[in-house]
Amino acid sequence: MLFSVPPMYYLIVSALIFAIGAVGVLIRRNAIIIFMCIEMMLSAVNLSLITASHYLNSLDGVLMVFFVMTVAAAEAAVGLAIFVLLYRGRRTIKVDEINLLKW
Amino acid sequence: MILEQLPALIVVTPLILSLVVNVVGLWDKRLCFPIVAVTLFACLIWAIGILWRVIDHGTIHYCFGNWQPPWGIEYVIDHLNALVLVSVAVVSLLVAIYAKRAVDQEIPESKLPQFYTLFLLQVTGLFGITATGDMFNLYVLLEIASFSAYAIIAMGERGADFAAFRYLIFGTIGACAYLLGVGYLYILTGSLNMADLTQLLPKLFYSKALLVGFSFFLVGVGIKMGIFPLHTWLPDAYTLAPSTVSALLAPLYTKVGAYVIIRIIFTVFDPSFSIKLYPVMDILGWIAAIGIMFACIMALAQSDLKRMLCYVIVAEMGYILIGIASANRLGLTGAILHIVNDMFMMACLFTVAGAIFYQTGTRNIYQFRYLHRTMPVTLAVFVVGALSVVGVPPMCGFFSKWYLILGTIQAEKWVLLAVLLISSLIYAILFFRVIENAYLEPREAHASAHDSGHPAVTLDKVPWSMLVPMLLIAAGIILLGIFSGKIIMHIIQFAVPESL
Repeated sequence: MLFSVPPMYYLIVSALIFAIGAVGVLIRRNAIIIFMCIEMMLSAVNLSLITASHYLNSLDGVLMVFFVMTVAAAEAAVGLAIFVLLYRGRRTIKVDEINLLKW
Repeated sequence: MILEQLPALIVVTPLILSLVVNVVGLWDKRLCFPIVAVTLFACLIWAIGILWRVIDHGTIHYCFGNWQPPWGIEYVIDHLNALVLVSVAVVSLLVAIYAKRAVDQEIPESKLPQFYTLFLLQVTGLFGITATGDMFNLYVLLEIASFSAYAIIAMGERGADFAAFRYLIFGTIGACAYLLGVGYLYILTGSLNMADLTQLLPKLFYSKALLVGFSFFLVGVGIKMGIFPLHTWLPDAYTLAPSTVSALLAPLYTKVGAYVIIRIIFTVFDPSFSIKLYPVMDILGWIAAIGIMFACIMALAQSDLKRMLCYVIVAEMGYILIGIASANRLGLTGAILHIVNDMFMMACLFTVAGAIFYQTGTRNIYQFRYLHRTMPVTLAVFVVGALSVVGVPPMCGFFSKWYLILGTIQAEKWVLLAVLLISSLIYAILFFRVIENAYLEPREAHASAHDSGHPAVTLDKVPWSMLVPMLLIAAGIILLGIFSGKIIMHIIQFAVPESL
């Protein structure tokens, strides 16, 4: 059974994955890896939703995860399209090689 | 019969038509614009119908597919979101009409169907966010609005691709934070229906997990609405986007975010959670104060009109936060009124920036010389918008600022009051700098200058399809000001929670 492991541990794993994702967004310089880190944060949220769904004995959480996955897929489509645009214009996707206006 | 379906229609109409536009566009690109205009006109009628029903009969509850809440998705429309819906509908329709010629100039013809599809999807998202009564549904619609915003911004000038990328990263992290907040609420209560949560949450107010969830909501929505430390995506994205897109996104997207934050703080969570239990209002007040001063100073440093206006938006979001942070009826009335007013003011200023760019090809404030001779109407519209932002009666900006100031006085938050007044002075400097450059002519050293360099006074060469929406928005600014008392009496006073 899933909850021979208490739900708490699933939530801790989810929080850890979320934190790893957040740190990755902040310190990595490759646009695609930044993007993958964001997807990881979304997966962490999914894990906590599934845990909640199981814990509460309701299907809502699982359904929400499906929606989140759809949203993440749409996001990947938009994001990758923007990367292609970036690469065409600048021949790089390293964010610190792209000069930008800060603030 | 149709009246009962209005809350669904206002979201479904633009959603379906956005797909139709794309398909029809493959066949004949000239048909795209009329479809968009008719769709948005229909949405305006639906929105007015909804507002009329809400004023007459009170809050509307609409269950999708007749699934009763909390199992099904419920759309709940009360006075607050009815008002926001109508404002979004009016501004998006006027901007769509304005868009026609600007888009023909800025977007390659082959991309027109995609542009209009994204335009409608954006509006769908905004209507949905405003209408929905379900926290998770709100996330999905927030993402619909955001994705179309990323893509449509990337169609802009050089550099827009990177601005869109940065917006994508920021926006997605914001959505992720919001989603995590939704997850926390779901774990704690097992429900995501806003009305249901209002009942369930007070028992859990002392739970630390709830506080964490609330913080995630604030950060997530804060990124989407561009409040101060989370605003860094905003100036680039809105400056480099095509001028129509900034005229659509800048007034609407951030303001709908402000609506969401009011909804979360005052409806989903009981106001006492953020007023008595935790010092949320104080924190928001300080963030707003620092943000307004920061944004005003940054705006002063800009020579690009659109970029200057972007910082004005960041400051305006601070204004709305000040209204929320006052945590009394007057302040919240000011904040809600300011959401509506700011939509019109920003639409006015951004359409003007677009029109000036359309005719002269520049957005640099210091190149606006003699513009009052070549674009008198556009500049008159600009002056109306500028005076309204500064807060000169009878423009609408004065009235919302008045309520915000009264709110801070009643809450005895003197720092916020000082920030409101000082920032108004800085606004005056900001906008009079533009007006000075455009209206006042340098005194020539020699009399011979009479015949050289002074273009003759002519009417604007901007097409009528752009001028008329601009004039209507400017008229809207003045009318909103004149009728602000009526709007507050019939709508906003019911939108402010009783307990305040």
